[in-house]
Amino acid sequence: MISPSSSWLIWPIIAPLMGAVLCFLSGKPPRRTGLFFAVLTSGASLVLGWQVLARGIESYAMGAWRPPLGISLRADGAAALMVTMTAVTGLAVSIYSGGYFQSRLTGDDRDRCRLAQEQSFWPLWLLLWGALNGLFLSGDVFNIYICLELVALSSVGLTALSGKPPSLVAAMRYLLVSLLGSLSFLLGVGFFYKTCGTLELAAIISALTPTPPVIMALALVSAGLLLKTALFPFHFWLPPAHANALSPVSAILSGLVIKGTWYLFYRFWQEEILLAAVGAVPAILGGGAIAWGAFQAFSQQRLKMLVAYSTVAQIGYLFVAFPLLADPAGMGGGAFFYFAISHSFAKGAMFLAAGTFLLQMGHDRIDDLAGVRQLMPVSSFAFALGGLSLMGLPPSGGFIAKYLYVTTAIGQGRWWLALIVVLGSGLTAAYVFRAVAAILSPRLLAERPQLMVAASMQWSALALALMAMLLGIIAPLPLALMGVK
Amino acid sequence: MTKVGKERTPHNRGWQRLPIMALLLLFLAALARAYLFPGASAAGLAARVDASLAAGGVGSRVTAVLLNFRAYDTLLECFVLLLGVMVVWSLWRPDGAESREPAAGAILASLERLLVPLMIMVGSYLLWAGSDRAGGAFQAGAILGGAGVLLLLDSSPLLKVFPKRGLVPGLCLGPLFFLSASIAAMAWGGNFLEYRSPEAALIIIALEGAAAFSIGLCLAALFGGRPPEREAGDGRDRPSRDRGEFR
Repeated sequence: MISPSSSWLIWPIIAPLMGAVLCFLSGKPPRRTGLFFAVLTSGASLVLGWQVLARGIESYAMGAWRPPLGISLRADGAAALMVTMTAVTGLAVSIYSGGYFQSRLTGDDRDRCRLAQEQSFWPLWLLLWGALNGLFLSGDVFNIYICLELVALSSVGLTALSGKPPSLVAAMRYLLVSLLGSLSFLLGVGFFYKTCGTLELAAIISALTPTPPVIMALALVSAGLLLKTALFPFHFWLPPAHANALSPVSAILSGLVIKGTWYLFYRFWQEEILLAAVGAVPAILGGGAIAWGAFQAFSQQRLKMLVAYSTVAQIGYLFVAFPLLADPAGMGGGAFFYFAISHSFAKGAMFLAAGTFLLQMGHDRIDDLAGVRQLMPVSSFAFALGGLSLMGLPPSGGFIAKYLYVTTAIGQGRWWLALIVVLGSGLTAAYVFRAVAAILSPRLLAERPQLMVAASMQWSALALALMAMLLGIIAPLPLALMGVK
Repeated sequence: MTKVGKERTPHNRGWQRLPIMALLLLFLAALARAYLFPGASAAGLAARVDASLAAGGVGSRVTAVLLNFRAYDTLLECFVLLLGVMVVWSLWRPDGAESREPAAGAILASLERLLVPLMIMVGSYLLWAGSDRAGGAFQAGAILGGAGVLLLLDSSPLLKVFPKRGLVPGLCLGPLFFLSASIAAMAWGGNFLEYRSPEAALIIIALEGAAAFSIGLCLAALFGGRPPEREAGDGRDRPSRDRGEFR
């Protein structure tokens, strides 16, 4: 039933779903069960990544019914890369969460509420993880819609978990935006089925023709996905939702959830005809996102808001390269996915580190964070490393991604695109330095308070930041996986 | 950041609605044009469904699609409902407002005694009927959920029939059984979720039964909106609340 030779395609989906139900059944906060299934899920995901690298594309017919009648799962290089990325970020966040919920218990009467939060966190997070893997691996557009629903609902639940009024308001807005996006996607799926007579993603993509129903379907699907990915100017809901959530949740939302809908957008938009015609549209919106997000990030007073607006800017990079994909021989696709992975690691590390500051100091006002370096050197270092990767300094993953962007863009004669990437890096440096200068400030604290933050929190943040750096050194491995088509 | 209290009332900004109306009309026109575009409709999958119906184990096309051909979708849908309950419960705070205790009305009480047994019967029939005509787990679950809502309306004493500790396992029964049966299919050498005639009909009925039970419970729990008292607390039991656990 499970052997190294059979396909592991389904286990990254089944393991977390099973874990979510078992966590929900538990009467106590299911920390051990949650961590156990987190390890299991990452293990299965890494095996799948290795299988795709070694044997090429994996596919699996659910219930042995082949498409178009049944639903098939399909893992090509891009899908396997996203599942592997989710495994790494997900495992770090899970280990962090174990320490996080433990460190927040203070022995007073508010613990009851905190325990209830942890009890809800584990099933929601595992379900979200399973749904994300389902999204990456699905080969069927209606099935993708169901995965989108699961992702959206569990993300909203996680956002609202902190219970503070701003996060509840943000979660409500997130729910409405997400529902609108899902419905738009579903309407598009309806049009696709009407014109193509199948729900299989690969068959639909290969049959794209410029007739009104197909254009309508593609527009509806794309609009829904852009709304959910929060590409400028649809970003309005993102910063309050990501910044006011519990810290592990912020890392999950910024590092993983937005990548899900971005990946789907890529799936629908990889056809050359489409890119040649309207590929500039996502690129222009992406350019707007880079500028506006960086400007807003620079003017924030709170660290988590700064990091959240930085996500708005970095989403821009995920879209600005769409014109580069038009040349299949180029490295456009590699640059694209490299950027997504290194952003996931770096942004995850930054939110996790910011969470340790918030927990220890009781606030995250950037100007009052001086001295935090002395208390928590490990997470201060993690935050700075994450920032370096965002800026694109060597040897980070961010550097490789931007290097690939710029060389591909210049090779294709798209100078304006290279210019946006380089200018964007300067803007990123501005807001990253603003935060890092405060955190690494040489000023000392007047008195040294007791450290509340568990060691596992600081070290998991650092591990993720180091992964972002390591990506620059092991570059051939992810690029080889990306090349499996 | 939040603009609560500064909401715009519809009448003083009426002119703002005009461009939105115009855009929506434009969108509607584009939708209509795309929908009515001649010669752009494919055949669909109905013929393929009919051709595979014999291997699917049930006579009803809808049930065959939902529980066999595209059972993976249905499995995930069961998780969507369970997720709904998880999210609603996660929003409930232990220190939140006390639940309202509705006055028990004589009419409602007698209506429950009359309707609830009938609804359970109708639900079970729909479940059975689903194998060769309209019906199935979701329809049966909806009726059962309706019965639960009726009982919750006045915290009926009939709720005591359902054990307090059974609520969470009952909610998980459908998804967990569906998932386990699908994995078990692999132990018999098939694919995940693979079941074929002649056993298929039996497996489908069992899956639907478990799913319908959990769906009904999920819908009722969504209406109740409150998790059962958890052991994780400080051990203070609240005896005044042993009626109407679900609230």
